[in-house]
Amino acid sequence: MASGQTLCVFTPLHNQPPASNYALLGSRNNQPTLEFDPSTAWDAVFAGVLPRNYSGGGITITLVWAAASATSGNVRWKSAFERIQDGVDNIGSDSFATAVTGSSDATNGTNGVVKYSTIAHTDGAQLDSLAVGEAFRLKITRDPTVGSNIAGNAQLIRAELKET
Amino acid sequence: MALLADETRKVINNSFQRELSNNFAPMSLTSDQLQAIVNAIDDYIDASSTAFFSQSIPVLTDKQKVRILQLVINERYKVL
Repeated sequence: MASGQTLCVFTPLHNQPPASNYALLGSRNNQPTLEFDPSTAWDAVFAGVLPRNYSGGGITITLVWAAASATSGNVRWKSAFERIQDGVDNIGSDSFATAVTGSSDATNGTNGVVKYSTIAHTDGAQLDSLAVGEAFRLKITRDPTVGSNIAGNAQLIRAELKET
Repeated sequence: MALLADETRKVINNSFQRELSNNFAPMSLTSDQLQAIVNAIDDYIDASSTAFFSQSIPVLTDKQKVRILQLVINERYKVL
């Protein structure tokens, strides 16, 4: 597959929330959202299988989000992969790789207007050495330590994985 | 009466931000700026409390005075 091609798309309804500090399912204009708190690092977890047409490069995650109320300030996201390898990984416990932190992205001047933020994972450790055809989980976290953190929730509506 | 603990002030800020989010109410201030406002209001109440409670309101307890204050503020600003 050529770089830049979409591998997976996740929506809020795909979330498999962790036991604590999980992003809350919400809605805006009848569109499902995942609500991320401004003060505590909340997580969303998506599960998938790396498509067979993946050619072994890095993976760039695009997060589509909007501020629930904020009209200024920044949001920063983190993402982490967990490889679920045949005969190795135990689904009874988490084994996410170290999270990769995205850039600090300014919210739109109108609340509800979406912003696309990207996080690039290089092939290898940042993908937890995930290989084609293997099951995986992806954890998305809002980083509340970002400078000029927006007030109120960040609402995630899509996550796209593409080959970098 | 002492100032509220920092953790309590954060809870107030979080609660306020949750209300904003639930109502999709536009807010141009950042989370830290809202925290500074919460802190300033608590500072003001603390500095004013001695004068407020020493007003010559007979019989009433401090909690009753505060309850009346809540009702007066609500009537003036219609926010509660």
